Amino acid sequence: MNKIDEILREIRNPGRYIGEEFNVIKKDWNEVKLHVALAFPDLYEIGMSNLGFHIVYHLLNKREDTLCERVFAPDLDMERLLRYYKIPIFTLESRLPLFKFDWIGFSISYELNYSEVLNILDLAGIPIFSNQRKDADPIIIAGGPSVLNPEPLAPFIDVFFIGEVEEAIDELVDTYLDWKENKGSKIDLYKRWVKIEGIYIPNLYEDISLKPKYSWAPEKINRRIVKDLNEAYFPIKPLVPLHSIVHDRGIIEIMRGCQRNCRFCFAGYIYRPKRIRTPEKIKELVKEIFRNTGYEEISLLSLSSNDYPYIEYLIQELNKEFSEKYLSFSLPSLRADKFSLELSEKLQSVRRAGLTFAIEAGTERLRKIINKGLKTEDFLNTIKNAYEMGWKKIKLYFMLGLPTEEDKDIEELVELILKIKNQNKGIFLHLGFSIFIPKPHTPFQWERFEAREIIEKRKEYILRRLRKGPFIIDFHNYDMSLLEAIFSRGDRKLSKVLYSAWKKGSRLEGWKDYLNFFIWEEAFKECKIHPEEYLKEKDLDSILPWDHILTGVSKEFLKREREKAYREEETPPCEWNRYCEFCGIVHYE
Amino acid sequence: MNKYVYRLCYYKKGNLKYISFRDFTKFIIRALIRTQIPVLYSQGFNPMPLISFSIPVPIGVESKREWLDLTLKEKLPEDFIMKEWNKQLTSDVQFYECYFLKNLKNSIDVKYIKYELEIFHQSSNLLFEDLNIFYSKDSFNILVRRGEKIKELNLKEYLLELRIEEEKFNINALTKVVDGSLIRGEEILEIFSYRPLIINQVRELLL
Repeated sequence: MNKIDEILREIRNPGRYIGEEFNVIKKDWNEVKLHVALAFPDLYEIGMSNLGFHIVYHLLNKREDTLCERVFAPDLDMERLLRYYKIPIFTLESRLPLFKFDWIGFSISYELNYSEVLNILDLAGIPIFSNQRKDADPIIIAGGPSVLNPEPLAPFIDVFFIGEVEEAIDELVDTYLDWKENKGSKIDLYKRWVKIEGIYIPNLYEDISLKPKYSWAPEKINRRIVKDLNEAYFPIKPLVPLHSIVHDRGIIEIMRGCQRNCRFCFAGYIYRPKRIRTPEKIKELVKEIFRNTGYEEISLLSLSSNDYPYIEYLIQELNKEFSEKYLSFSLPSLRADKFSLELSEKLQSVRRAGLTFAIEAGTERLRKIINKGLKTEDFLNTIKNAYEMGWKKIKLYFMLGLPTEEDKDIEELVELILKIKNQNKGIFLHLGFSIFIPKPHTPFQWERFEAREIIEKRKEYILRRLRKGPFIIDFHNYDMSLLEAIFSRGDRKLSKVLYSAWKKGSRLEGWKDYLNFFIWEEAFKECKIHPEEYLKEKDLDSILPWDHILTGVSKEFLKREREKAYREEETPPCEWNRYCEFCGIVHYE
Repeated sequence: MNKYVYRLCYYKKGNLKYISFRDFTKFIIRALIRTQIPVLYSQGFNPMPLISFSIPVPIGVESKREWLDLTLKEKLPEDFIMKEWNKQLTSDVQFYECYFLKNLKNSIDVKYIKYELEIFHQSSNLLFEDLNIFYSKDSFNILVRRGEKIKELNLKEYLLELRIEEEKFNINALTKVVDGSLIRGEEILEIFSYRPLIINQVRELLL
């Protein structure tokens, strides 16, 4: 028995570290030219639920000359034993240490995963800071939605990929292999890579001013956008995990981008324009994925299911073909209206699922500000209809600390909940409250993050008023939201705090039980950086740390949207070729 | 609707020992769905393929023989079922016996469990001494955890045979299932005053 097996016997959830999934790809190390370790800086169950991670894994392995293996952040017990036995962190497929690979690619979708990027590098025995790495060290690449503000991670990452990778991956690999064959220096490679749209190499820029050090480095980085989603690669042999994961089902992305203009929503702005897969293509994918996985459920993923133009037809067609095979479908992100109920009803032909609505704010005024566009009366009717149609348990999501939110809004929110309870005798509500986080590249990127005392006061009020009743109430952890808010709008200086907190032992901050906020307070103090600087309202004319990253949506549009928010004015959904607010995004139709 | 029940046995080894029983059942059911074998589903809000498993295998334990009953809508050759299902599984879990059940009420009834424990121990003399003490007693009560509860069991009622292979330091034990209650491999080691460390544990369920 080798050391790794010995360790696996001693830890919780050893299934996280064994690989062996159905459809796993194992290649001969010596038969390929490029070796990539794809890293997810969170636990297996989170990383394996991430669609982007799967797409990159399969895209790379699709190439005959490339091998891609996976690695996930270890849990604390595993990390302790890896360090104790001095075993470098390894990939699941071949149990090889990460330092042997040419690239280590991080898929980053959450700011509270940042410390695990450092941790994985350290456990791999690779220098954490980019400027300390030698030519022989692997190239550290990072992509994913969080890197649309890359600066807090800039000193640790060699190359960022900004945007959607499907069409760019071959360009990246081909350029690299050509460079490798010609044995150039890393700077030669970077000189060639920066010509690929979406590539950002922080070492080519000055620390604070972010001005290019070289004439050939672009001043601004354009987000890479897949022009035709229908033709874009999608994995039809996804890995079927052995160990339970958070979203343990098949996923098909039916639509990318959203037309709704919800002003707080990061995804709504960074995945523009709206692009779809045709129902025929989706049917084809369902067929293949079902055949190759045996999943009992497939989630039809998009940011707003109701807005997929052929949604009714699609559900009808899928039910016709797959209900006899006991394959059920789910739609995330349903709007709280009658149409959603009809859709949900049609989805129940195989299995009964719950109903969830994210209405975000309890008052019509606030919903206008965030551009959620939902009238209270319509919402109450939707709940009433849902209840009558047999949904006795309904989940509702809200946000606290939205711009201009006052105590009065919370009082009205509570009244709304009580009204739902009184109108629908016997209903059970699961209420989830998160805290609004101003995200970069959105109209609310200049807003402040609400103070702890105010959130606590509102939380206490809600709990007091809804103490008795058919409710389960969850509040997102304030400390977690606070850290996310800081790093979402962070700059390069924050990397010092991140390094210090990691050094002091902070790990897996995305897990409430693991977050040690005291460590972070100490790290901020040590680095003489005031968190408040990152939480307060920003001046509209100030230079933002992510100004060099262009999503395609103009800053002027975001400012206009913010002004409209304060005027409580709504923006209708974008209907390309019919109605346009001129956000700046290019449509490829 | 017609029902055709098959009893199959399989082994589970290697890395699959690190998977919880719940995850393992999900994995094996998905493999079955991939075969497109016409399995019968339960009725109700959440239809599930009709498969019943024998006693769950704990994490960390390999098995030479586990059992399950599978209900189909059609009668199919046993070899075909095994072959198709095995194709969808890794070499660490494979079916190797399958037979048609004529009596549908004949549920899986495990009577004996064999254990092979690969152990680490410093002195074999001590092991044998302890074993002799165990044999000399009329009863040997131990405390075991079952879910949230602690139960007291008389090991003598369960343990039918115990052999220590001197050269390899392996323990082979044959245990009996008493009214649905069983003894786990590691619990057998309660016999020894200095409890050996288990390096590997393999079990086999006998009907």
